Amino acid sequence: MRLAASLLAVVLMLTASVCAAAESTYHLHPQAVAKDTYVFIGDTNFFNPANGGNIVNTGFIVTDAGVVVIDTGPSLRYGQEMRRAIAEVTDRKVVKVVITHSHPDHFLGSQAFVGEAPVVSGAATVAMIRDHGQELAGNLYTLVGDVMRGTEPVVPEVFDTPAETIGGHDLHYYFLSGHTDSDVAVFDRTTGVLFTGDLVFFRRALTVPNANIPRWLDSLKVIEGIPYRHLVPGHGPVPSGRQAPAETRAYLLWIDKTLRAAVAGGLDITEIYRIKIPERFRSLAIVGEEFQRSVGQMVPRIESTALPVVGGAP
Amino acid sequence: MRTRSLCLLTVVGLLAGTSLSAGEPDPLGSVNWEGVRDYAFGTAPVVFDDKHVILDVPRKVEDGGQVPVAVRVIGLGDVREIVVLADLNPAPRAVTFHPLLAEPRLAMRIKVNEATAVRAAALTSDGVWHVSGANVDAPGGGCTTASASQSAQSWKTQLNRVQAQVWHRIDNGDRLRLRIIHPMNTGFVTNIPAFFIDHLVVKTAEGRIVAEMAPAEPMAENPTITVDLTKAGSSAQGYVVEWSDTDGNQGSAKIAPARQTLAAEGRL
Repeated sequence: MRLAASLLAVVLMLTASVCAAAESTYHLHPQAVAKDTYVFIGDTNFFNPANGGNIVNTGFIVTDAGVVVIDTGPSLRYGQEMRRAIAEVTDRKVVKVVITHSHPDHFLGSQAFVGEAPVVSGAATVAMIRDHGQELAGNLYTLVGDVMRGTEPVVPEVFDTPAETIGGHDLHYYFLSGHTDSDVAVFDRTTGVLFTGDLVFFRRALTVPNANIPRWLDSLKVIEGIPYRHLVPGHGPVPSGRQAPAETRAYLLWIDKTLRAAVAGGLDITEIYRIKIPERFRSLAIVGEEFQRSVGQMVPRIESTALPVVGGAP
Repeated sequence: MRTRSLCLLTVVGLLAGTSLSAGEPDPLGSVNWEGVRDYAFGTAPVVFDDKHVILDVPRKVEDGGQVPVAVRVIGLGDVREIVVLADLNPAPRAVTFHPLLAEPRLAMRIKVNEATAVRAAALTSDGVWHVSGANVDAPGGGCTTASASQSAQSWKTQLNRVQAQVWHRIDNGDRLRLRIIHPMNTGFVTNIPAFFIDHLVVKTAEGRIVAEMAPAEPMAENPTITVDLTKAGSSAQGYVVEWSDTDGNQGSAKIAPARQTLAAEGRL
């Protein structure tokens, strides 16, 4: 009898914990941006335990043939909650998951879609996740903690399809680069919605850990040539006009020019940290913090080519 | 009973603490301060002095392999030696710097193996060490993962390459910035022996030694160093840098005299 009672207690506890796990951590609410098209807008802060790594915008398109998902968020739990939020909008199956690039906030929710739909991305993203996915997941675990539990990187399949029609939606894929070695932008010609991934940030300071600025600037030109009506940036709110790529470009040009001039002028990195951010960029979310990160990432790269070789191996 | 034994433990702890820690308590609360103090300064007098020893280091870093550090000593007169330490590194000392005819300031990047107190200390002519520091939050492994060039093997073709440039500081001596390609292996990674630059001197083109330093394991890969020379230590003829590493490799390079003025924000 007592044994039965304690068994019952154990069962109840297990049920309670399963229910707790099914509760929402991220409180994802799909925001409609156009017909059939929804986005989940993330926090504009840096990774922290409070936001659980949800600093990213993800989205999905509901077509007659099923759902196309663009990016899967920072964790298994995010992916699962995203999948449930999609199910509240449509009972159609997910038929394709496109990962824009290899940063951990964009692809670590992919486990939640494995078995339901192929997960695809550009070749360099696939290579990066294959070779460094565990490190990227580990870093994020350190930054946001326990909500990452159970998260494992899923290596996408390489795809290079320039365009396809899925369930009446005319989808165009742009294989660009510059924010990372491979950045896929998804343009739905049917609705006019363009998902730029992190090639465009809006009202949020951009990040450059793997950036190639000349290539990023070229990609922005391509994006501005796309006849989109709505642009979903990788981070920050969905803008109402077409100004977001120009905002990204202005900050990129400023930081590149400023840091190069600082190195050419003889400044040490500890002095470059103190450079004042111009008024026109100060309203960008966490620009102070991101400027510090960018200095740490960009200045050593600039020094490696800007300081003249005076001896030894050429 | 429980309370009494706890009290007893506390008393024993206090007594033990008193006998071990002569000198001021560490303002950073580092668990390894006493060990680092004895290792770096021996029995010399040590004072905490963040008014005269200014340490510039980020409070939080993403890359424990490249932590920017700048030290500036002001108002202490003749500074004989500056050391930079990271308490919780397997080898805490990153560099020993003898300013000679340089200003008592130095900037470089170091490795930290985990979140740790980072310290700068200046030895004045009266034999006192003036210490300041800051706690730096960092991910693990800065000293115990292979350097990027070790992993890529790229150092083998580039070892010995020296990059350097000199600028005029307005109304003052010259600034010298220097980068040397070297993996700076700590010896704390399995199957990768210690291999780092452990001696570096800056001379004027005329041959006068103006600054000298002994880097150690925590100096970051491809050491990138900024030194400000005094007027007396500066030369219109340019400079020579000479270095050697723990394997006995030696290198030297001539550096052209300054042609440009340091950018305005320069205030190391």
